[in-house]
Amino acid sequence: MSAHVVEIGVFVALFVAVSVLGFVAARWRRPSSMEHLDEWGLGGRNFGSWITWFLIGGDLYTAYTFVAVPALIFGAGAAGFFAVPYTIVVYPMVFYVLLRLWSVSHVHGFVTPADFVRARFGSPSLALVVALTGIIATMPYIALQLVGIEAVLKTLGVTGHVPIIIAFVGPSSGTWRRCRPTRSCSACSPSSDTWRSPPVPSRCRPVPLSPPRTAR
Amino acid sequence: MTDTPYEVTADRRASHALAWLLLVPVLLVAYPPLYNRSDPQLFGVPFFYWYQLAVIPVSVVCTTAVYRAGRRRRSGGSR
Repeated sequence: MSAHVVEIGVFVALFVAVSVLGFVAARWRRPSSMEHLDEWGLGGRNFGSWITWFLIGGDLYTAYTFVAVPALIFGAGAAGFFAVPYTIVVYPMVFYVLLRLWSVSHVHGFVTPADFVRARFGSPSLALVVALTGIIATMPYIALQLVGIEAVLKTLGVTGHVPIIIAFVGPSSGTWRRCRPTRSCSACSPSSDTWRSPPVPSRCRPVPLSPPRTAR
Repeated sequence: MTDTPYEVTADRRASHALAWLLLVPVLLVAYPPLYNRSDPQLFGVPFFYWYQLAVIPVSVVCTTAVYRAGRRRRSGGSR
């Protein structure tokens, strides 16, 4: 157990630093209201390139990158190297497809892919299917992060589920605090009349591949 | 604001042509038998590994070129 003191110290220091960062960030640009889904889901559409760069980094470099893939390469060898060409292939696709998705969504005020699908294909049921697919597809990804942090904790000599619960409830409470205005949070109750549904255009026109000049 | 006319200018066509650059890194890694070899090695690293890592900078160059072309078009006032 004494052999793990350094590891646990490093882990706790980093964990506290990240948690503090999270709570500070929650106060960093306090929105005037949390009444819009843009505010809750997209930070009020105010993230510039710099913040977005870090957000994409946070999306990509997860427990999958730091625990799962190295473990696979350790166990299975070269097969685990699929992660490199896979990312090389994905980036151009992201560059071509998402840029267009972004510019259309920016012009029409969409928040989620489901909003886009509803407007583009005029089908609320298709939008519902897309939304549910997104939620279900996120589940294994979140589960992977839990398994990853469990592996890290096990290496530290900490076992059981309680440390994981603490590790996730702690940082998550930072986001929960933000979503607590004086009035009831309308983002959590879409039936409220203040919830603003994105405008649905009759038909999406071709929008330039690049973001419009009004961006940012 | 959604009524922007969608003109295909020469400038736009040129940058669309440049978008084909995005295919280069994809093609370089899409077919594993192309690089599934251990020779020639680089600093003792088998070809299989260093080749794929070397495609990353190639991918960066291609993506940057396409991005810059798009930005030039945007700020060039052709729209």
